[in-house]
Amino acid sequence: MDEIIGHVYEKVNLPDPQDIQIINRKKPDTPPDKYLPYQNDESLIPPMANFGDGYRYHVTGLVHDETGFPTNDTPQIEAMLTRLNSKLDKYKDEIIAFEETETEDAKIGIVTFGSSSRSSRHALRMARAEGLKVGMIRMQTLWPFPTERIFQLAKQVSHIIVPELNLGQIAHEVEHAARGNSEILRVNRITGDPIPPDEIFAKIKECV
Amino acid sequence: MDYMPYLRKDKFPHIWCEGCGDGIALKAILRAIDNLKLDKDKIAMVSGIGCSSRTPGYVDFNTLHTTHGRAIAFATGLKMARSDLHVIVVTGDGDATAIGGNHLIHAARRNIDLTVLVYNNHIYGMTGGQVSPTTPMGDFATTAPYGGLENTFDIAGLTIAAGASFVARSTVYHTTMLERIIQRAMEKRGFSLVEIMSPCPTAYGKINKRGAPKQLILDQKNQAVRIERSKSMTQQELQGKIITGVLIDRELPEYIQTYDKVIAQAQIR
Repeated sequence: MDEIIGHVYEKVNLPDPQDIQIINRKKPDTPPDKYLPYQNDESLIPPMANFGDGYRYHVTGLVHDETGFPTNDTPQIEAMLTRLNSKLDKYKDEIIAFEETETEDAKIGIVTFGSSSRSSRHALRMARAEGLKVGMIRMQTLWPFPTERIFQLAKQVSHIIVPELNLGQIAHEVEHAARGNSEILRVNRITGDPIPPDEIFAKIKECV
Repeated sequence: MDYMPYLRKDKFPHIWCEGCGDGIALKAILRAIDNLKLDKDKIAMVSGIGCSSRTPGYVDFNTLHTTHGRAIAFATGLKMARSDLHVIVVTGDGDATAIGGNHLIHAARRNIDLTVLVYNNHIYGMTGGQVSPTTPMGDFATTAPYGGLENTFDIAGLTIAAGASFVARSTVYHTTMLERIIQRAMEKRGFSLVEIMSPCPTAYGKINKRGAPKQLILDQKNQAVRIERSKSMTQQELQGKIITGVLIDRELPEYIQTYDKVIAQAQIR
């Protein structure tokens, strides 16, 4: 997500390989001559055969119909794009990931992602040490965006601070999600080094 | 031989123009596969974008039509996951040497067991007749209205230098040779590339006033020189000629075999 994440070294604890649950993609149970690789069903996830297992089908990067071959037929194109989009919509609760820190009683929020989360967490501890009720949401995915959760947070807090290592990109999305329920303040830095926690802490104090 | 068992008959007619060499190349591929008696379920044909890259749609194998330039990258992944498959890449000069140039040289350098068939028609045909890395210097294209300014890639030479096991070249006029060298490329373990000279009367021939489609094929007959004969010819005599035949066939370590050894070693540890 940013250069610091790209370069940071940390200790990670990997689970024992035996404890890892492997979920393979759904495989077809239809015979090869009846198989339609992109046939829609309620799950919106068509079973996908492995190459080499007797299903000689076609995969293309072009817009395709349910047989997998390219198509210029507009109803088929709409059906394919609707399925892809609906799939995201249907499973967005499983896809969207974020971590909350002390949001239960928060009066001031921080919404952050990437390495700025570390600066934010430090600032949060500084603020809590002074009795300021600050809570934080660290987004682990940015798309789809946790719009609903940020809307709820915006109704709970007076201000949301958005620290970013750029001139303000995700802040627009946070503003959109907050729908005017809280004031959005930005902390930006383009110097090539991380945001000092003091800068975020100073912004928190402006909100009090 | 009967071609029908290898074709997806409902996908015809094909998109290739009258006088295009791509259909002749397809025929040679199918003959080579038939000679080798390969199981259709164990053949994967991978392509990128362009006229040549539409080939997989017409054949009854496991077929993968990928994004522009990335056929060899996808094929590498497929071969690593399923080394039991014969992975054949069908690509063009633009796809393989411009946008996919890095994939080509590094796959050759790794010497991974793929059969790469590059149809060289000296131009981007499908996408609008733009100049390609193999457009002869000075020849015209829609993006070279005053003639191409750049040197021309020698696809076979580039692949030999990058470290491939097997590299050959044929024109589509020389159908018997084409079939034979494609077959040898498929049999070879390691990175194998066949440069197939396939004329494009529509996008290249017309703008360069090369005459009727038939003429482009006859030109190949006149330009082709077998590698064995070329060795006794001077640089001057070889000007404008197409050197055909098996250009290199050598034994080199193959990537998947080397990789499997590393995996075995890592598991012992």
